[in-house]
Amino acid sequence: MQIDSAAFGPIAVNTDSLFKFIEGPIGLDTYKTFFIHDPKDGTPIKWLHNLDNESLCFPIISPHECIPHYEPKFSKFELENIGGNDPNVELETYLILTIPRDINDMTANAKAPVIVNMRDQVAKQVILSHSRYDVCEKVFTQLCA
Amino acid sequence: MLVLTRKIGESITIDDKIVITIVQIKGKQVRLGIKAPKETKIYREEVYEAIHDQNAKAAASNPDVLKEFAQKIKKEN
Repeated sequence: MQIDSAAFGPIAVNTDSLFKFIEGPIGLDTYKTFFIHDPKDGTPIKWLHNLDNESLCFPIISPHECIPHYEPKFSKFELENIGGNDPNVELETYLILTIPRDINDMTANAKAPVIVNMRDQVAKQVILSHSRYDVCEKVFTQLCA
Repeated sequence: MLVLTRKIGESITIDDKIVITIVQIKGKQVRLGIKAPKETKIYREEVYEAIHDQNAKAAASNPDVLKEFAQKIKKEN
C-alpha cells in the first residue's frame, strides 16, 4: 500500500512492516498503527510514522547511536506483555527524538523508550520509573562523535 | 475530586485491588505506600506529563532540519 506522508511525500508501505501499539505513544494513544520509515538521508535517524494520520511521525534513533552503554531495565511484566519473555522474539528499542530548529539542541527521550516486537508486530512506549535517564537527554554532540 | 482525611498508618482502598497507605508525614511532604496489581501503571504525575509534552514536541519535528545535519556528517566522513 502507499501513504501520502505530509513530511516525506508518497511512501510505499509493506503490511508486514506495520505494528500496533499496545500502550502509547503516550498522549497520542488514539493512533495505534505505525511503521518505521527510513528516509536514507545520511543520518542514523528514522521516523516512526503513523498509518492513519499522514501528518503524524516521530523521529527515532537506536540508543546505541547516541547514548553510550544505554541499559534500560524493563520489569518482568513490561516484557511479558509484549512477548519479550519468548526467547525467539528479538525486541528492538528506539528513543524518540525531539528536533528543534537548532539541531544542536536535539534531545532523546531515554526515560520512555519505544520497544518493538516485529515478529508479533506490536510495540509500546515504556516509562522507566527507576532510572537515571532523562526525558530530554542532549544527544547531538554524541551523534556527531 | 473526592477528598478524604487520613492519619499516618491509615489507608484508602480503591476498587478492591489498590491500597494507598500514608506512611510518613514530614513538613510539606507525604510518603505514600501503594499496593496494586502488577499491571497497574503508577507514575509521578510530572514524569507522565513531561513524556506527554515531549511526544507532542517530537511529533512537531521537521525532517528538513536534518539536511544540515546530514551534510555535516558527510563532510566529517
